[in-house]
Amino acid sequence: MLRIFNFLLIWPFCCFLLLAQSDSIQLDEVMVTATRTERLLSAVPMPTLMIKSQMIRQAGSTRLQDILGEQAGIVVVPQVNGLGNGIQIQGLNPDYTLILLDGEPLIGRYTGSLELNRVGTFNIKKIEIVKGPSSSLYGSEALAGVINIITDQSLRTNGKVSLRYGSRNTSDLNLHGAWVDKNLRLSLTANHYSTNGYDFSPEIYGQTVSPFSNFSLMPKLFWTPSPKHEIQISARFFKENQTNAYQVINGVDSIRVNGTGFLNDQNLQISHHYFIAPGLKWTSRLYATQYHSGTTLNKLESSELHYQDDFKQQFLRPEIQFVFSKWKKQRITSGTGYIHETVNTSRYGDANDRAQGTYYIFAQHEWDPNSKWSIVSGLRFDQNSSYGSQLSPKLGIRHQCNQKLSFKLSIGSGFKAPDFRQLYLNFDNAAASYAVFGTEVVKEQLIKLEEEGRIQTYLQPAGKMGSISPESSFAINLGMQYSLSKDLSMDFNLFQNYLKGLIETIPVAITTNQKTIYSYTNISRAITQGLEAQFNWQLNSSIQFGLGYQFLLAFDRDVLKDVQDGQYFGRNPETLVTYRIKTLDYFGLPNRSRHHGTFKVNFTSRDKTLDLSARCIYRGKFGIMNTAGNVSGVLIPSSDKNANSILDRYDDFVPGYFVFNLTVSKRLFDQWTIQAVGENLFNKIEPVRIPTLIGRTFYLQIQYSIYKN
Amino acid sequence: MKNSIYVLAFLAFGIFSCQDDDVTPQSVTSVTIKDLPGDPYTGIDPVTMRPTGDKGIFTFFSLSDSSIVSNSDSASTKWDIGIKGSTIIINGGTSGPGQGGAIVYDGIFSDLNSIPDSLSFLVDNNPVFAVDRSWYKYDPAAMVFTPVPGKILLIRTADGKFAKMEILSYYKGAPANPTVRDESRYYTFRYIYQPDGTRKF
Repeated sequence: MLRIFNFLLIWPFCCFLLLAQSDSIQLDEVMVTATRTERLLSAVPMPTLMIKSQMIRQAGSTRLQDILGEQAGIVVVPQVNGLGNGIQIQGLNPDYTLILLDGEPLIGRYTGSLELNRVGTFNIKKIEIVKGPSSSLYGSEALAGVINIITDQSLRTNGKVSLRYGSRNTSDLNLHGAWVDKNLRLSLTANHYSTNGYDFSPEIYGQTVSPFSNFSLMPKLFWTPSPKHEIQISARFFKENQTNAYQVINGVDSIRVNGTGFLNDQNLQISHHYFIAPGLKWTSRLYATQYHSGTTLNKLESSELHYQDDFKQQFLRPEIQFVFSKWKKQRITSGTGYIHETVNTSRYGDANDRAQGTYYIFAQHEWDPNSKWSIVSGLRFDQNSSYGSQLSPKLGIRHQCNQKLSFKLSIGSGFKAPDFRQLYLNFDNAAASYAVFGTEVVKEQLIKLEEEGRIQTYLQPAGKMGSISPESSFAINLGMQYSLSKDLSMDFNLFQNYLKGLIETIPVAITTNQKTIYSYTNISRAITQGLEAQFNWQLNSSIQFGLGYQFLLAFDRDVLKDVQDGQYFGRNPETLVTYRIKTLDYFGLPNRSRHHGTFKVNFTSRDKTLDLSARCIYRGKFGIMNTAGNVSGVLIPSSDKNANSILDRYDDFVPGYFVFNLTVSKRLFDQWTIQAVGENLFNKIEPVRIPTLIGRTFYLQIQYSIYKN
Repeated sequence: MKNSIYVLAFLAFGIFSCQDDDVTPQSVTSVTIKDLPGDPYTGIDPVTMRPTGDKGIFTFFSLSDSSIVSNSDSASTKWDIGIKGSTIIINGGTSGPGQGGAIVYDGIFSDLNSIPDSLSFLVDNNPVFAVDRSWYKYDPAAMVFTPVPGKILLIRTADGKFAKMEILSYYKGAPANPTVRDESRYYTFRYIYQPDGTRKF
């Protein structure tokens, strides 16, 4: 009976969405990210997570990274340069996770990770997360997973205002209004956020995080001119200003600098859905986005310019997608598009635009032969002007053994295109004892140096320089879901990611004045593997428990092999005695914790006016390597204490730590909500090694909502 | 510049005598040299921020005497190794008139009892040197050189004798956590020189 009910729900999605919105019936959720079509979450054959707006509201998180970091298997990690945080999924670096806003990619990655604080949580309807490679649908960057932030599509006229104020003079003002008519829905969301930042090292000039403020505006239009046509237009404008003051390490001295920084980001999405006939849908989309950031730093003593940086990235993508679902139990989705991307930055030595284009085509087949089986297969082909072509297949199978038990298996490959820095960087500073050239410029630079007679030695064969291909992965996810009862469910996922052709810098030549010249190449291989586990227990209508855990092993495969062969040694820095590293001594890749866990308790009063949410996050010990985090005048010390450039048991790790968060919300007179949030209640900080771990924070928020019934 | 060399010497254990009755190698001595300067810098250019004061000359060293050899003897066989910055030369090939050669070998210094007969020594052929760059690692972000542990320099000296050598630090005073602020180009190393011409230590 239930099966028939579920089956009936697969097709009329619009009705379903309306029902789900009303919250009155507990129904299965729909996910769009895993297949680019609306699919029941329970029938998605890949590991997924869904964060609903209710969870975001209960937690009171205003920063995206906070709500993400409270999920099982999602680790918020500090960036290697100490600037900002990133999201690590299945042990892969932040730049291997694709971040989408309403299905379209956010751009503007600074040294790999996106600054997630650019996205406020106020108007998020839900966040869908698919783990494992999804390049078969999304192309580059979707190796570790895809995070799709889906904003609210108000279905009734309403208005909301919320004001939050808290520690470090942080204020957050949100306005949201929606007007809904029969065929037209309009909404506007605005946000203003400002904070004084914080300082872990008052003895050093400048703050650890400088004061900043930002403003964003998000208008949306949804128009249904006829039952067969839907038009959606949404835009986003974001502007951030920073006031910077730093003590920077310059050669062997440090100097004091100050100045300003800005970050502007705009995007525009236009889509048209055309329901040609029952089971036949045509979608045209246009997405244009721009990211522009800049920093100017002057020397405090002399007011001379110390550093100036300007980075502008543009991304334009027209795309069409076709969904064919006329046959029972099958659905075919296919699409094609073109991406035009340009970068213009002072970091590449001139003011020229660097452009690249990518043509792509993808197809996917969803097949649900009976209520026990679901099979999704997909393939995507990308053709890029700088790095050539890439083929990304994927297969997912789900089997429902009985009402309580189901299994999922997904196999796929992902890739990440070389970024603009790896292609075009032109860093040759007289003050530095090294130069770094991207693969598209290294050859001409070496020829120039050769002609000037400044090359002493080449360190790589000529053929190895100047060519680069995407990094790629092959991954297996094997999952099991078991529902002990209606109220108690368990979810396990075993994963393995094989990454190859990872891009790293290599020394390519030495100049006559002993300057080492570096470029980029596909060099290393890595493996990340582990187990994700999640337990959910609804004790009664008021109390809910959630427990998440991830065990992770992440190794450089070449290092692992050399360690197994006895080719790695360590040296005691005090006694200078050398010893051999054994296989079990090797800890693995930096910035990875073997253990990560989350524990949540939610309480809702019977009349649903009082919410209490307590969360605890554990991150196990991890190591730090090759850091250049000298922005705040403090060098982040490497964990490597025995000079072998790998992490092993003799090294100095950042110890594991817990963070506790507590939120209490109370609804008054239907329309008012007061919320008190305490984050990092026990004030766990690690000032030098995790400068992004903010200390104890309190907020108070008041929200007023109006509805038109 | 004033250089101070401390020589610490002690007798190695007679670990070979019990296992090999045919040839009893001459008892050898492990020598540790601290802060041997390899053309160090003396200052920093305030404009370009590049270190200055290096003279571009090698410091020559005799392994048998554990002493510095004058630069005027650079064309002689009095020296065995020369250091300048991170470059190590051996008295042979393009570097000098001696029979010197070397190879970088992976292992533990104290565990290596003899140089395997199968190993063939390399000879300097400027700008390619027998001791390649694998003995150190340079971190461009921290701007620090680190001698790679487990890299043993197996050396044939200018007069055809054998030695094993391990570089322990590139910074003055061998600090446990060297930074760019430490004085670089000062070698601390240990070696064993076998004067009897065998490859055993």
